[in-house]
Amino acid sequence: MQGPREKQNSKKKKIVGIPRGLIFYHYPELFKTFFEQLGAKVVLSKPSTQKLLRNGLKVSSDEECFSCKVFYGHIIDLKNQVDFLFLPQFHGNHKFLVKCPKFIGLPDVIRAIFTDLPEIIGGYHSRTKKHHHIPHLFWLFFKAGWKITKNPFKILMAIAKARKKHQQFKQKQIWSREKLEAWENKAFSGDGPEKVKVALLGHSYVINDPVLSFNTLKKLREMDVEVVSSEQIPEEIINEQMKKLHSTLYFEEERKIVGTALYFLESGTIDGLLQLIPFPCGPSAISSEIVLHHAKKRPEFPVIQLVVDDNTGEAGFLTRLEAFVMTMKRKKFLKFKKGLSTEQLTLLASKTSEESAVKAQ
Amino acid sequence: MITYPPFGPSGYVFLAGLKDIGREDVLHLSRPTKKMIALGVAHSPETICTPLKYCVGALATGVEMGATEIAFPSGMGTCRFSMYYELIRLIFEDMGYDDIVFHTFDYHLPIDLLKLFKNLSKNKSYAEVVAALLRGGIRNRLLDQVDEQLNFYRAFEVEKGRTEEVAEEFYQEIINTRRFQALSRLKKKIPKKFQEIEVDLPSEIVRVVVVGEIYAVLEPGMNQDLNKRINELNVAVKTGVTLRKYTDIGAKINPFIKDPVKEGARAAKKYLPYYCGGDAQQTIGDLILYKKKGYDGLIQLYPFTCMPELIAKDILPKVSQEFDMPKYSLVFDEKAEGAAIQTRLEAFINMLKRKRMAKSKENN
Repeated sequence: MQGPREKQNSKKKKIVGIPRGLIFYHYPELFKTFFEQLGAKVVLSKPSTQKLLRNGLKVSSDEECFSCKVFYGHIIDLKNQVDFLFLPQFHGNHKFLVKCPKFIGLPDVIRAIFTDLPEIIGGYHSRTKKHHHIPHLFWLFFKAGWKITKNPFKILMAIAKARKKHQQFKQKQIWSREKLEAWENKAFSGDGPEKVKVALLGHSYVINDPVLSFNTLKKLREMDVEVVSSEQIPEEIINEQMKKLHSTLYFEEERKIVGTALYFLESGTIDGLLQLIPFPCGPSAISSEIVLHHAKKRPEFPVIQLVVDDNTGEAGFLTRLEAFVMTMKRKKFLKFKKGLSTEQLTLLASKTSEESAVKAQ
Repeated sequence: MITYPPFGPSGYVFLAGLKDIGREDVLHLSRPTKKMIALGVAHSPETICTPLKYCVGALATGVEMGATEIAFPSGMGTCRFSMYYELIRLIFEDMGYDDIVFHTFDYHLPIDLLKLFKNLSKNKSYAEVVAALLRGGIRNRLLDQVDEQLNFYRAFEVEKGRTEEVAEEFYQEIINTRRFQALSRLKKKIPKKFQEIEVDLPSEIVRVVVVGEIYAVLEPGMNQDLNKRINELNVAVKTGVTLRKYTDIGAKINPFIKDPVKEGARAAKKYLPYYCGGDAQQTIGDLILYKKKGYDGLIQLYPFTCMPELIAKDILPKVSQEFDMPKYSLVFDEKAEGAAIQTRLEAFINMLKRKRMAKSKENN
């Protein structure tokens, strides 16, 4: 008996679907708050799962990048339960810093592949174009809002609120310089040899996605590793590091990755760098080469680049991750051991063996 | 010695241009060989698009042959091509080639090209450099003309190899001619000379257009002589993407000539409305435009992991269905083999021929 009533309710409230992939991880709060404030019901697709990926593989072409394959899965998950699908074509809000071309092309590909899509709310914005400025972006938001409600004041309020929410999110996400330095110094004074510090390099939509990253962030934390990701590094540090390159690196995300890597390679305050690369990601091919080139100058610094795709086995991935963490821990322990007397060493050895016994139980 | 990456017959423009401004020490690299490619693959990142691997391999071979200067474009763009300069520099640093001078320019700005040529020239005035660039533009058009004629007459020639001989003669002539008058005379001479070739024209000519990523289309070392292979099946080929299409400033300024780049983008507006790097929009637009011109099929070439062409490739099936134009997407990487392509190509061409025959029967 509840069926028709639910249907009536949903008819009143328009449902907007936002796929949880690619651009969503850059602006997670902005779009959600915007549509909620307009009075629409927002449906986010489920966090990625293996089943979702397998669905996506059915429609995607073979050479497609891993993150796009997962994105197709999200579309399949959403398309039958929403009135509007939100697929913006956003190419960056900087004069020359851009996102991957897939951010523009993918919505068009989706339009071509699927025949039974709901109405798409989109809009193309690229600050590299001559006439695309803030008013243009504002106009796009207004147009998107007009599809949900015909009340202009409501749309203006929604834009303002969404913007505020996004700024709060950014403030929370990006560390200040002081916080970063405090974190690094803590690493140096050392909480014993067990804890190691790692910088995780990768796109936001890779690091935060459970399938794309194989839960790396969670696994690292379980292994007593303190992680800072490339998206948390403040802008000014990255801009400083970019001076080491001869030409401008114009991919926004790669800039963060390379900047973070160069910063830590220079300071040496952490124990290792870990880069996640979805196969065959275009921009990552550039960043991985630049990071590797600069890492070669410091051979004692551990760097690992893990390539993931839909055929990567989780066990194999985990083994490589564990081996990498173990190397760092061993290295730190050896450094730590040099400053200890023999008595302290035996104590430490018995302590660690006891701990491992407890863990095994 | 100065060198630049191999770029099919279009590379002759660079050779002639550098000779014009007084550089005699130019190393013109021939088409990429297996050895060059192996060298390039060994030193490039794994998932970078294939042209970089070819460029690295060829340029490294050039350096081993004695080149000390390399000219390569850079800049800021949408796809990865604009980062090639930075990557090649880093890779060469890793390979131990420390004393190489890189000459780079922003390929979006013609002024930058002028400055580069002025730097490269030995005591030449700006007027002479501008004249050299103008000559480069004319040569570009002439090479286009030769390419067009070659890809048509080679398909129906009676004496095998005659058309290529003629084309090769013209390539040498285009490089060596310096006077503007002589160059404009060549313009009339080229079609005349090709028409003299003995041909055996069939009643129904099947035409195919080859589009896609510019390096894959123009470098025969990368596409395994695709144009020649199609010609050998008695099918005329049109190269849809040429260097001239993107660099001919005269045609772009002229209000009476339609810019093919913009035309392509406009035609593709329904399917891929916004520029997303490379030639993606033109690939889709060309399918529609060449259908209207009466071509029988379209072949899209792109290097492995090319981002814009992959977008175009995913959209093409829908456009192809709507316009009833057969298309075929071929991907090339460093392991591309001629024989593997041949079989697939023959199947596609035979399909086109059969379709043509059925159509003509219907009309009769």
